[in-house]
Amino acid sequence: MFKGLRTPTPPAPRVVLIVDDEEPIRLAARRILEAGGYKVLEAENGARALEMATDDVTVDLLMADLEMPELAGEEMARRLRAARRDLKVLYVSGYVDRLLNERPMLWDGEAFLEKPFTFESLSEAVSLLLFGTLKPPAA
Amino acid sequence: MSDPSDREPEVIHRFKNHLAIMISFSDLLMLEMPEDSPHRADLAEIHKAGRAAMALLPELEKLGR
Repeated sequence: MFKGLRTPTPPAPRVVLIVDDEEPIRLAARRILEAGGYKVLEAENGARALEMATDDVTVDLLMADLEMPELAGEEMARRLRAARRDLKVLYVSGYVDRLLNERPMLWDGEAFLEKPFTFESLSEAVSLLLFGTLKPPAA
Repeated sequence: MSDPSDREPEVIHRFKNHLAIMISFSDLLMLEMPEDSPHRADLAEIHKAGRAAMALLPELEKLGR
């Protein structure tokens, strides 16, 4: 055994913060993303997501429901991105028309996924934002 | 008395959430369930119906407009 040679450390899993006021939606998204090798955090509303983002946790991608009570997903994402310009944001909503009317263009690093999402559509949307490919690179 | 059509976006939003849950979990189960499971054919029917309901959504939204 050569001294100083080590097995390369696998890259740390990317962290996705799911923000949705519907618990079963968070659970479904968590199961799908964990199957893809991501580390998943959850928040039940925008205010909690803002608190979590100030904790000592680096979030790579924010999955934001647009329709939430108190703090809407878009405003939450705007505040989080003000502090983290490289944060990727996946907006999830059933109201496609509303989003497209209000935001005909998305910023770099943002994407939109229509509900109801599927295993494939969510997996691909997250991978595209984080890696630029439909599937994450093999570990 | 409020116009029922005022509630249409909210009803469709909730319907889409329920559908997302049904489709996501049936997707996951289809991936995880062994090919030779006696329950696989039943699950495949649920999975197929979920996808069919999803395909009907644009028609449903048109009816509400």
